[in-house]
Amino acid sequence: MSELVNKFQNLSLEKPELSKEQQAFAAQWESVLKTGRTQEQLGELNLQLRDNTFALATYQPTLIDVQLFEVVFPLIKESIFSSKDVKGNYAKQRHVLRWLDYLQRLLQIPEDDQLKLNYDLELPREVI
Amino acid sequence: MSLAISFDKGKGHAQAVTFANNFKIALGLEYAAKGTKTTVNEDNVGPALIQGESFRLFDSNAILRYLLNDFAPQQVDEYEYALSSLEHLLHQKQVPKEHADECVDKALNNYLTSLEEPLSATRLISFVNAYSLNPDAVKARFPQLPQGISKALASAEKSTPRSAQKVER
Repeated sequence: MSELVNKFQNLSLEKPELSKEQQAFAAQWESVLKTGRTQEQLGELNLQLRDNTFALATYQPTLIDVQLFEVVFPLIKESIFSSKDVKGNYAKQRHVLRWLDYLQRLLQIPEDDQLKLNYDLELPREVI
Repeated sequence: MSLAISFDKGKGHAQAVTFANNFKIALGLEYAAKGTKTTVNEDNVGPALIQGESFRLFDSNAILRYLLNDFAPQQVDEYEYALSSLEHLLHQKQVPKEHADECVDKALNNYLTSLEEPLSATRLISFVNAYSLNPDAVKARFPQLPQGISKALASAEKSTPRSAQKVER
């Protein structure tokens, strides 16, 4: 078990009872994680987080959010650091960034390792 | 409300992945839980299962599980192997044939020991991933497929674009 998963499981968060649809979301993200397609499906994750607070459409983060966070966090961090188009990057992944920011605080990622987000950045309106 | 299902039209996927996605969707339609209403949307490029505006699945394993209403614990060895080894290989562009064959043999020897109905979603996913990697080895082990699987296989072949039908590696 990874350190983050361990940390998450020690938090006093209620474990939500999942509906059939939420179980299907869990199966979907588990499948993406286990087949190594997380990077390929970042757009889908952003879309899911546009309409839902967390990956399984729950009101509290679940273990799947943490498992996704472990893979997505370094990917997004690298894409933010390596791209000159900061605004474009923020705009493209805006919902993933919101979710990452919440989770990095919840999981108490050391300050120096955290992704520092610029909340004053004016982003283009999202076209749905 | 009926579920709108779309087959994978093969946009941006390796051939074997498109075939595997369509096989799973066809199995989902074939073995769908009683009372499940579905319509196939030919226009969408899929794979997808859509209900209304708030529920959408893009992963064929999750689509199959949802249609069968089978969310049995997924931390079992057979499922771990089906995804982390077999399906992971399906998504790779260059995998030595010997390695893929060896993985399919391992699946056939350790997990795919029977296709006795009722079939679980885990067993169906395992079967499809192995079949998509090495159909000959799977056919040799199961010369007689259950009717539901045979029908789904025919449907998957029909729904998979001609350019993506070849599943040999």
